[in-house]
Amino acid sequence: MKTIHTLLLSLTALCIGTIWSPATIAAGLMTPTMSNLPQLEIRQHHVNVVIEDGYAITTVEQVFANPHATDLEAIYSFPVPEKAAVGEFTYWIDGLPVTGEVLEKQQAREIYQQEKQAGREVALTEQDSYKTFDIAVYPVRAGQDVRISLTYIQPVHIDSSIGRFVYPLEDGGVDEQKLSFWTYNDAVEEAFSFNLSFRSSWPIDDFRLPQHPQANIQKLSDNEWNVALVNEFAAIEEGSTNTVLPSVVQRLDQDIVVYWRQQQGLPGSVEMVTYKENPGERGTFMLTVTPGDDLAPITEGRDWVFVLDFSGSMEGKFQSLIEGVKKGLTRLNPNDRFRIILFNKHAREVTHGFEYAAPENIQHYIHQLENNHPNSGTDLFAGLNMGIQSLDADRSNALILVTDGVANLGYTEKKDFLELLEQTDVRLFTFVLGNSSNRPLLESMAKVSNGFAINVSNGDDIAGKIIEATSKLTHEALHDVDVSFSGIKVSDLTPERIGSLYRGQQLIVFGHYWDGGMANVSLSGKASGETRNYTSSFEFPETSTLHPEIERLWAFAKIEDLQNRLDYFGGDADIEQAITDIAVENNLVTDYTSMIVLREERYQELGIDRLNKSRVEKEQLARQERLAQGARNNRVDTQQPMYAEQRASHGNGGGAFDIWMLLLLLPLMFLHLRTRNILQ
Amino acid sequence: MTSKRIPVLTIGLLTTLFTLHWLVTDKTALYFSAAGIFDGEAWRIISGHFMHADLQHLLWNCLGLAVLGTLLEFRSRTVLLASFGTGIVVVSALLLTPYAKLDYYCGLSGVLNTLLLVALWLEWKSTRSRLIILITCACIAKVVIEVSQGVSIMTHITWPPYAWSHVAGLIGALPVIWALTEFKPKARLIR
Repeated sequence: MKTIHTLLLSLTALCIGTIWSPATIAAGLMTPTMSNLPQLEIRQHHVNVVIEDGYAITTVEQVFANPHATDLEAIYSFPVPEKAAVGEFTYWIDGLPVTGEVLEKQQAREIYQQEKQAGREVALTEQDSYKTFDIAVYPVRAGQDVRISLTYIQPVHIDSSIGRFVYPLEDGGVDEQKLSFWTYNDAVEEAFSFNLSFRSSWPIDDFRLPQHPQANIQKLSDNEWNVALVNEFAAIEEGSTNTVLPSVVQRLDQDIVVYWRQQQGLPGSVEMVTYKENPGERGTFMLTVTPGDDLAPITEGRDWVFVLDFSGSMEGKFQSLIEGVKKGLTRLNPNDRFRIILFNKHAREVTHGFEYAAPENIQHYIHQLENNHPNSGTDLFAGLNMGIQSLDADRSNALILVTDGVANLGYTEKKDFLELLEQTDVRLFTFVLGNSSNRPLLESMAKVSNGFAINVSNGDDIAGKIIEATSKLTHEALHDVDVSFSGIKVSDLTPERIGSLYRGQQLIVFGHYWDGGMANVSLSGKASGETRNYTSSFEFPETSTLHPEIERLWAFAKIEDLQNRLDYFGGDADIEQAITDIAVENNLVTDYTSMIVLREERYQELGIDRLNKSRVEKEQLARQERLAQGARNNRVDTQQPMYAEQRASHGNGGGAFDIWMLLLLLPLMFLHLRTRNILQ
Repeated sequence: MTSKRIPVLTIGLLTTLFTLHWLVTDKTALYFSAAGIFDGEAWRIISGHFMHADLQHLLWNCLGLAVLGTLLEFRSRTVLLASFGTGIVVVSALLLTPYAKLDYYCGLSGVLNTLLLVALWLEWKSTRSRLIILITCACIAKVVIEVSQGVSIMTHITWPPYAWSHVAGLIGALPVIWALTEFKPKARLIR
């Protein structure tokens, strides 16, 4: 137990430390480095987040200004938020907002160029794989400004009763070509605001923004909270009476991380939101299972294999990484063993086989680590393969991979990594550093090995991440998890393969259903070789119109499944077409589709149906209706609870004296002083 | 021993709390952790009660310690030490049981509840005031509400509240009160 928690402690510490890179770039307007083009300005940047009913809707509204004498094109890039589905893109043309439509990527690009050449207003949002969303807007007229807004949706996970939302702004700086080609302008010249409205089925104890302690956090009720970061300009614009924060964010170079903590002692539960416009038609549901805390602690010792990235992008971070490893190793149980493997363009072992965690061994290998200097590319496969080959089959083991980048040397296909992990019985625990890591690859690897991946932002709370990881590794996990339905017709479940559930993790499942009615829902899995079943029964509604966004969330999850299949089995035109069809039908920006905004009359002239416009209007109406209703309770297993146990919490606690207790002490002090005759 | 002396022990404890909070960067190594203690990190039994999750947590508990520590130390430094030690032992005993289900614990409030009940008992012995009974009932009611609702009242720290430590702290006062009743303390209590 000590081994696990100390290892995780140091690893998370090192992970956070490693993101402190002076070379990071941020979200911002891009200008080619060697060009004579003048830079545009970000005049305003407003972020509005609504978190309710298990998902977050983030709207980013910006004003770009052109202080120069010639018309220019604005190109804005920002990191892809975790599991974000972009479904709304608006460009103010002639002072009126015009929403975008989704087309196949190539077609959208061609239309963008065509409109640009014709001098007409046009804007385009593309996704660059897992790395960035890139927005191009033309024209930003000389001496004028343009206003655009982008909205994305993402499911919100609660882990061990702690919720986390990240507005990503930092870039890890791992794409050297992009870095050398572009100059970034990430300064917001005037108004910046970040407003988060939170409505929950469950009572919330507290909110926390570890890197932004100045944030104005307002509790409206146990279930409704507001968070605001507003600079002076934005406060004047809004006429805000909130705490005005001078220069809170002038540069878009730091992630905004928001945590919230549910009250203690809440039950394990099943929540569901649905969308079904008419009886008899297909409906969509989003099922959120928060398991009860019934997974037993693990007490046996393990072997630990550290696989550490020391490629060029780790420059400036590697010393922090060594400090973290040192810290962890010095606290290991002497009976635990460790190996350390480094990889850049080659992999090599620093240790000589497994070493016991004796002080002299630790000192020796830390010294050896310090003699290494990060450089070169990243052969992740070589590092991982060496780590796997080094395992001792007779002992419990865990492989901990820490990387901030992408596999760009040796085997780089996802398929190769997944096959490697499938051949071995090892749990892979991955720390995904920053916003530029190949998150899809690392998460898939963790999933196929029944391990887990933890995303770490520079804005994260170190202690919180330590505790999150520790809590999982100190308890058994539920493996081969499956969810089944009977009583109603359900299909298109996603994720297709759930894998494992570690302590504190929620399970979010999307699917379609046809007729409403009572359904029997069963969740099964294996813990320590024993099969466990959890069941409940609840009603699927015949009609439900409050959550149209979950159609897009289902589509996004389905596309992730298809993309995984594509990565695993290689290029497949049918799968690619399926992804494109789902993305176009649900108006989502993906690697295969982009969103384009044109002058209103041009949509008709080019024969582009305004499907997304209708969808966006429907979603905006639903949002207003939800706002009017306030917080809702989406729990569906109240009558027949799926879990007997309370949900897991982070397993830490404290108690504090408070003002009430101190008020009670006043009469006590009075009595004491009177008895001592001090008051007389 | 007079009631006008400087409460050096209380001041020392307060200084220790502030010093640890400001100087220790890796607080996780000092938090109370049953797993760590069973693996030989015995210091956590004591250090966990001296560590605090954030500044608000520290300040509230220091205010409590300043008042209760001074009240007890004016009467007897030995009683303050005995109450402090017993509080640590009883609260730690609770946290070491599987029932606690905590990976980490920090904060002095459990121990402060021991000091509180001992201080109330001593005041009752010297004044027989009904006000003491009212204060005691209010304190117990507060703890009952916290335990039953799983919330901390009127304070928000960055860690979840663990109200059972307050119950343990109150229980920890009982052996001290029993000892004060049964045995004549060597150091005469100032009345």
